[in-house]
Amino acid sequence: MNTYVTVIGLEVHVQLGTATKLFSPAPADALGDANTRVHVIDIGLPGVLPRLNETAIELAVRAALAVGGDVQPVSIFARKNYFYPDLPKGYQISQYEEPYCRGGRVAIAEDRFCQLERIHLEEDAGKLVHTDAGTLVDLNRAGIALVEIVSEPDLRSPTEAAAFLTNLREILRFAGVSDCDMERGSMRCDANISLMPTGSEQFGTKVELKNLNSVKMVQRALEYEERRQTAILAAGGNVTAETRGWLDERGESRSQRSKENAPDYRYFPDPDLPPLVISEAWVESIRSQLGELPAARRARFASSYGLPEYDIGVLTQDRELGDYFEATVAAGSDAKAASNWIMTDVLAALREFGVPLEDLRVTPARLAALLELLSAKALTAVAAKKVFVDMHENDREPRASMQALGLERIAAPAMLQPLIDAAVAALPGAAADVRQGIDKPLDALKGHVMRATKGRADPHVVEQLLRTTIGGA
Amino acid sequence: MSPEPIDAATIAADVQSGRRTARAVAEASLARIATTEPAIHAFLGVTADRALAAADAIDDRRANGEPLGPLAGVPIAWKDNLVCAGEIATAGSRLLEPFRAPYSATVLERLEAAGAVLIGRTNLDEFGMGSTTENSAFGPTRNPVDPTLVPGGSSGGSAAAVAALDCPLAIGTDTGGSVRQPAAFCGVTGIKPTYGRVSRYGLIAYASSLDCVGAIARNAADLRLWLRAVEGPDPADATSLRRGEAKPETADVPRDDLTGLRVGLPWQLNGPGIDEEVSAAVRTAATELERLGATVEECSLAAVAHAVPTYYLVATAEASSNLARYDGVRYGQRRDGRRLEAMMAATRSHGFGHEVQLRVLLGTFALRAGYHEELYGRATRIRDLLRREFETAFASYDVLLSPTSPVPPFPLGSRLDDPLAMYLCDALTVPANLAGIPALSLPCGSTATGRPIGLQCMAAHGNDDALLRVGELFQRQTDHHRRTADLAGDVDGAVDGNPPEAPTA
Amino acid sequence: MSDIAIDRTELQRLAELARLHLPADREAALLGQLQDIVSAFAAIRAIELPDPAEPAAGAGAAPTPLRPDEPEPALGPDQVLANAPQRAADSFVVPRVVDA
Repeated sequence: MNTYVTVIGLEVHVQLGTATKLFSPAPADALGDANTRVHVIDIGLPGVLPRLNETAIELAVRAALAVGGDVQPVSIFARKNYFYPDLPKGYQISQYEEPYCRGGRVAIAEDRFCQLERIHLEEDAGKLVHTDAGTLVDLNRAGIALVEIVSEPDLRSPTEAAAFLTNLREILRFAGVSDCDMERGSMRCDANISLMPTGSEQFGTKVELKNLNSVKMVQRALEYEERRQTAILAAGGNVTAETRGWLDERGESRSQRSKENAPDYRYFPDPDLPPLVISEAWVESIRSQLGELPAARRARFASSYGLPEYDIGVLTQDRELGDYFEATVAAGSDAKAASNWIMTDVLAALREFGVPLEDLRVTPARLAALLELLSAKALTAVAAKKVFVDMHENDREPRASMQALGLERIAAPAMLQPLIDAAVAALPGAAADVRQGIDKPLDALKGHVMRATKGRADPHVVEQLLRTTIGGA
Repeated sequence: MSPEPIDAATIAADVQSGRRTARAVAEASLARIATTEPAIHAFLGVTADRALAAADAIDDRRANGEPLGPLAGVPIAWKDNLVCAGEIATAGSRLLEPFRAPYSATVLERLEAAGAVLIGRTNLDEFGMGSTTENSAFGPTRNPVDPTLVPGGSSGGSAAAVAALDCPLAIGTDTGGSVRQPAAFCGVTGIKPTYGRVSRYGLIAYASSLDCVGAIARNAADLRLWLRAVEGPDPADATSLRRGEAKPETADVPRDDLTGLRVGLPWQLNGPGIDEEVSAAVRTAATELERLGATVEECSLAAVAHAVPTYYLVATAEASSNLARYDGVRYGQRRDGRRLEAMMAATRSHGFGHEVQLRVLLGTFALRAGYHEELYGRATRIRDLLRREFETAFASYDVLLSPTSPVPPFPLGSRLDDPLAMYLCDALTVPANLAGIPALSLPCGSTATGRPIGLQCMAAHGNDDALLRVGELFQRQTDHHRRTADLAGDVDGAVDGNPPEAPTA
Repeated sequence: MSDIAIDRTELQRLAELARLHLPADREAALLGQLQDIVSAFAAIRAIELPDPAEPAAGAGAAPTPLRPDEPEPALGPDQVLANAPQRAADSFVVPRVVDA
């Protein structure tokens, strides 16, 4: 039994998938060259005022509903005041005493949950690039809409923290809130961790960890901090309340700021923004569009389609892929056949073509038609893969691709017999072995015929004809 | 020779009818500015090219038979805390120099759309913080009625420009009286509309929950013309009133006399601490309203006793945050520091004047952990109380009267070193800002030595039109507003003779 | 009710929070003025106020309006940086930030 219990709480920032920023109509894709996604509002020019983005509220409500949070009918935007060159107005518009969502929970194990304290809306800061000549300020990211999800200190291990993040990410992706890409910064995490003696109910002094850019990093940093604090306590020392930055390449954290220097943010309601009112009717209409969440979908995929657990895991990794699968089945495909194709060819094609699923020109209906041709033996499995690629590249129906590529299956004995004869003539040794009852060389003979037909020959017919032609024991 | 005062409505009508060209009006205005400026210094920048181009465009439109706007050809000056695309904006501060705005304030955009000719940026107390225009980084403005006196503030440049007959209309902003008090000091008419009636987009913020764009003219009728042109919802300002929130023309107030108008005199705003000549002038004005058919009686507004601390705690708290953007990173006059914090502190300490620094520090204190609840928090609750008291009072009265300022205009340099005493002088104007209600300052006489006195009229939230109607009827029956304009016309005497003495401060 | 007073230490903390550098002579003048103002204003702490549970006036005020999520063209970097005190590589430049 451990001497100490670990207590962890997470603060997760998630970038909302809006077209424009939270308070300005500038494009919200923070990509692109420096300062090319900037409106006068984002520079904090004298005289500008914030204009709240409706879709940001809708996505924030989706996030709240997806984790079972309680959407507040009235919430207040507040100013968090501090100076930093990435903060154009000298304050960040956030929510403080009255966030738009309270409560909610995220599963961390089969029957264990981490409760959420709150979720609030806020705007992102700009980006700083440090050079020898000075620090460069790029405001493309300044003002992008975020929600901050604050958990209760319910997590008891770095593994639970990782599970929390993994599940939260899956839920939010599913709900269409954000792509939650930690490496690209659309999901960011700070962690609070403290240790207390086993049996105690009094939390220890907490340390805040920053700069955690992946789930693995969160786990590693927390494990390191667990060890560091255990060592301090075991030696009779006291943990210092501070903020520490994680240096992943070194596998250690470094103190950034002690509690005595904690800033005084002087929050107060932003006088430029009247209260945010989210009507019950709006919440209900968003709820009705929210659809199924991952856990429910997994259960249904098992009961309705009888898919293996592995397939379910892959197909429910995001909403679109599961929808694609279901549409394919609805168009007439066998569930397992559709699942096999999606897990292999569809995912491979997305990687290879570098397109999102919605841009794949092999629609579920076309995939279903292709699988039907396959099951009707109108083309071979090898040919089907070529047809699949052609369907996307040339945007056409499977039958049209098949014909254009000349990939219809060849099963007519009259067409195949000359090729069978040629194979037997080319590989007399193999033919002799088969005649002696050794089956192995049959593959080489079949391969010869398949090569000659570019994979179009029906393998069953070929085998039959080979055996008949060679004859023997 | 001073020119014949012409009001905005007459200019617009003449330009529309072809009796005058917009160009001739603009040229006359620019010529008058050139005459008065050496003595008055109402302007921080005269935009002659912009004005003449706009005037020519209006004349061309008329020549082509195209319709003209309601303010066609009217020369208008704007307070230099409103940004205008392509023009410099200073807010009266060294810090912003040499800022040039890439966009226009909604109010200026709407004025230009209505045919107004923007002629220049007027002087102000830095970021609107002051009531004499002596806190401008670019030197004080003088009162055209008597150049040894302050013009009031913070819209002192705008009030002085109208009083000096530079232009018939000037835009001001009013956070705690900054339109009404200089209007009173310069003997002209000024309005602070209902909060949100005119968009704040493009107004360089001092205290966002109190800031209002207002205007100064020689009569209330011109102010109505102005309000019509610029009011209304603005998607760029979340606090601008949506349609239906501002009451349209009220039937309560008859068109030709004031019979049935219920006037209240809150004793807390008309009592001790007010200069006797000022009190007497307000009493006389109340009698004049009675003569026009109004009923006048004393009433009470208890919470206004706390209006000054409430106002200064809310206003400076917001200001401490609003002025945080002036950090030397993205615009403005940077002072170099080798370290980032030092750069920001040096920029702000050199860029901001004393009063601005004082208010930023006070506002920072009001929001500090530990004091927040007792200072800022209590102030916002007293503000709610005050709002409710006004609501109750307006159930019984259509208009509440008081002096605009407890004192008549005073000499330059005489009150610079006692900010608290200056703050207490705002006691009569800040309640309207705290409550968000419309308020008007009308000339109502002068002291024995000829210093103008202003009468403040306040109306219920959204009742701007009823308020202006009272002002128009009052001015139709009295001639205070004409007499002070005559006084101001003498300003060229000062130009022709000896220049005024420098302030003693 | 505890005293509300500004001493020199508090003034220095305020100046730090407000990013103001106060030379000694200015500090003395500001401290005196702030002390006068704060001690006069502290009177509001004695005012009896109605129950805070009572809804504030204007509580029924219009909610914040919502803007459709439609992008407007962004400014070009030259417009963004038009008033910049220092610029390089299409960015604002500040003295190097040393990450604590």
